[in-house]
Order: sequence, then C-alpha cells, then structure tokens
Amino acid sequence: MSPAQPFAGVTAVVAGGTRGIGLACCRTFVARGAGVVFCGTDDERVEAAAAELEGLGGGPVAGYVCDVADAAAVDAFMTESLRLFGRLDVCVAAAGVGPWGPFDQLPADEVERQFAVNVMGVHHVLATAGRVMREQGSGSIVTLGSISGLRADCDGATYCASKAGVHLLTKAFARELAPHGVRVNCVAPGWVDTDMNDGLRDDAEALRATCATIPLGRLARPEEIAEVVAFLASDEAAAISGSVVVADGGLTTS
Amino acid sequence: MEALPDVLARPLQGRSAVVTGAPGVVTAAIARRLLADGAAVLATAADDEAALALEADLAAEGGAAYAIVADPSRARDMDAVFGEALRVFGGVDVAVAIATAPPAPAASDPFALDDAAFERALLAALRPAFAGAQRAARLMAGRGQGGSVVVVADLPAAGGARPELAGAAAIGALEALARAMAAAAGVRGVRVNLVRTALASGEIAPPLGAPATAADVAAAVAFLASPRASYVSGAVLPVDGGLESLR
Repeated sequence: MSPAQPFAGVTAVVAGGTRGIGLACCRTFVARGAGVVFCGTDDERVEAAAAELEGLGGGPVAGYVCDVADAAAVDAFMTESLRLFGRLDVCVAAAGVGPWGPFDQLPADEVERQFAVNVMGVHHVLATAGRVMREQGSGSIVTLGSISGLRADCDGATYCASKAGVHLLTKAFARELAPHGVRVNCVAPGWVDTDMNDGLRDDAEALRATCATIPLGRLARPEEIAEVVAFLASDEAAAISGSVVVADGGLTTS
Repeated sequence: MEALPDVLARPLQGRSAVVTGAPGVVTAAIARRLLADGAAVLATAADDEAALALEADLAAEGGAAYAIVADPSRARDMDAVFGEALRVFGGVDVAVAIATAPPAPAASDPFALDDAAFERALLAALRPAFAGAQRAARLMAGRGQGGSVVVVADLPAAGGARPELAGAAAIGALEALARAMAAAAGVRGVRVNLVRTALASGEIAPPLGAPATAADVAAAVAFLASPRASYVSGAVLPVDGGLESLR
C-alpha cells in the first residue's frame, strides 16, 4: 500500500456523489486510488462529476443516474457496481435533501420526498450494500447524518427527524452486520459549505451569525467531511462500528 | 499522477506531540504511532528504567522521541512535562492525555462502593486527563498556532461488562470535559476530542468479534491529532469493537 494511495485496489460505491459532501467523498477516494461507482438523480450532473473524477487520474470511475428513493433502482445500481468491480469494499450513503423552514411552511410533497430520500433511500443503500458485504464477509459502510439528527438546531422538523433516522439506521445495521465482519458508521456534519446551504453563501449577515455560533468560527469545507468518511471507511477504523462521529467544528458542544 | 501531499504519508511531519498517561501499552502504542506519522514525541514513563525502555522502543521508529519520568496525576510532574516540551520543542502541536483505571474486582458490588473508593476512582481517571489536556490547550491557545488535544478514556466501564459506578461516572465526566474544552478553545483554533475505549476490559466479546487493540486506539488518536480531522472538535470516537452499535 503506497502512503499516497491508501485506497489503491479498494472499490467504493457512493450513493449521492454528484455534489456536496458526496462528490467530495468521490474525489477523496479516487485521488487515493480507489475505484469509484457513484450515482445521482440528474444525468447532466452525473456526466459532469464523472468527467471531473476521471480527470483526477486516480482509480477507475463510473457514474449512473439513480434515485435512492427507488428501491429497485438502488438494487440495479448496486448490482451494476458489483458487476464492474467484482467486490465492494466501501459504501457511502450520502444522498440527502432538504427542505428546511417553519413546520407550517413545508410543502407536504417535499416532506414526503425528504423521508423517501433521507431515510428510506439510506435504508435501500444499506440493505443492498449490506447484502453484498455480508456475503463477502467484509466491508465498511459510512452514512451521512447531521447534527440536526442530534438536536433541533434549525427550523426543519422533518429534516431533523429524517437525520435522526439515519443515525439509528446506522446503529441497527452495524449491530446486524458486525458478526459478518461489516462495519457501519455515520458522520454527522454541522454547517458545510455546499449547495444545500447556499442560503448562507448569499447572505453575509446570516453567514457571520452562523459562524459566531461555531467554536472553530467557520463552515466546513466538503473535503473536511470527506476526510472523516475516509477514515471510518478505512482499515484504520477496524475496531469502530455503530458510531455517529460529529464533525461540526465544535458547534454542538455548547 | 502528481504526488499527493505529505498529509497522507506523514500527516504530523514537523509537529510536536506530548503523550501523558499511566505507563503501559496504550501510551507506548500512541507515542509510536505519532512518531511514525512524523511527529517529535515526548511521552511519560513511570521510572528511569521504564523511560529508557520506552525511548529504546520508540527509537526504532526513527525521529525525535523523548521519555520523561512523571506521574500524570501529580500537578507538579505535569508542569515539568510541559515545561520540558516547551524547552525541547518550543511549543506543543498535539497532546494526548490518557485516563486509565484498573478493572474493578470481578466480585465488585456497585451498591457496596463506599464514598472514599468512589472519589479515589473518579479522581484517578479525571485528574491526569484534566492536567494534561488543560495544560496543553493553554499552551496551544497562548501560542496562537492552533493544536489538537485528544483525551483517551481507557476505562473498563466503557466495555460495559458490568456496572461500575465510578468508572461510568468518570466516562461521562471525561466526555463533558473534552466537549467543554472544545467549546472554550475552538476560537483559538484548538481542537479537543475524546477517544473512548476499554482495552483493559476484555470480558465480553464485542460485536465485531475481537476487542480493540492498542494499535486501533493509536490509529484513532493519530487521525484526530492530524490535519485530516481539521473540522472535528468536541467529538467522541468509540474504539470498542462495535460495542457502540449496542448503545
């Protein structure tokens, strides 16, 4: 194992890999030698991400259009990933959606979509990857939760509830898969500079107020969250499973 | 392909690290790992003989390794440790404060624990962690170059094999200590995190089948100490063979 390519020969699937933290995870894995299969819901973004990742000159890359809310589509995506690589070492369940806002202003269809993606979508990814890894007797899965799943830190009741669901899906799958040598962990980010938080990008005052609540005084860069994912995915974390690792610059300490 | 930055191969290159804790495999494993990751390391040892043995052990990794005789539960000893670190390194970038306790006797009855024993057990775990972490964070904050403090709670109670009132209380207190320090020190760019493990426990088979090893704990410490964890502060990382999935 070359130190610069710690994931050489590793095969990773990233569900929700065309933007934000998921794309940062793809970049980190590819740059360190892993073969990466990822998916997203928008075909143009899938193409753009694939082109960018191939340009990194790391491990092999393949991107697909797949909506994680669709169990059959996730099954097909995972089957295709397995066909391409022959095995599955790492899986990241990164797909997630808003909306936020006061409870009486959240459109019902978007709320249902939120649970379909954030909870059921993560379940479909865990279930399909879990089956493959259980068969192999090895593997590491990392989900993306949120500090919003630990406490009601913003207006967005259903977002908070959906991310709490991710945390417990993680622990429950960790418990079931541990006897088969498969680890499942969660990274719970705080505020990250991604499209999902573009409201902060456009509002200097809101950004300043948010940063003032964070002990480290700034938002996370997506690649900083990807580093935590990469650690948990790697053999360095061989004795860690069922954890929800907070990466929030200290926000939830106070 | 362009070579990746040294952050992967030698993530602590050019940094200095102080490892304080009761003598044992955990202290040695963490010191060894931080050295391998490129740091210059000063670690505590129980006596002259242990210090020489630790330095010899660490010398095998190459790099700058120093052992200093100190009892991490004594304030004056800890002042001396960090004074020596300042003298030798000029500053501290990484500090690892290890809290350990021997397993309680197998027949221990939680309802028979007397006040004095409770206090002794609690302080045995808390005092070295506070002394190391606070001194380190103060130095880092004062220097203004940031830093990473990792508190290691290696307590049998974290293994959950049987109720241990003092050990359980100590774990809660250590987590609260690390989080409160993270809240206070973040503005100075100092990160504080906790690794929770139970290396000395080894009674119940953890979900992953094998208990965590000192090397596993050292790997988690090395991650939190490094720039790779640049946005992680106030976090608890359980290195326990998957026991966390049952909590």
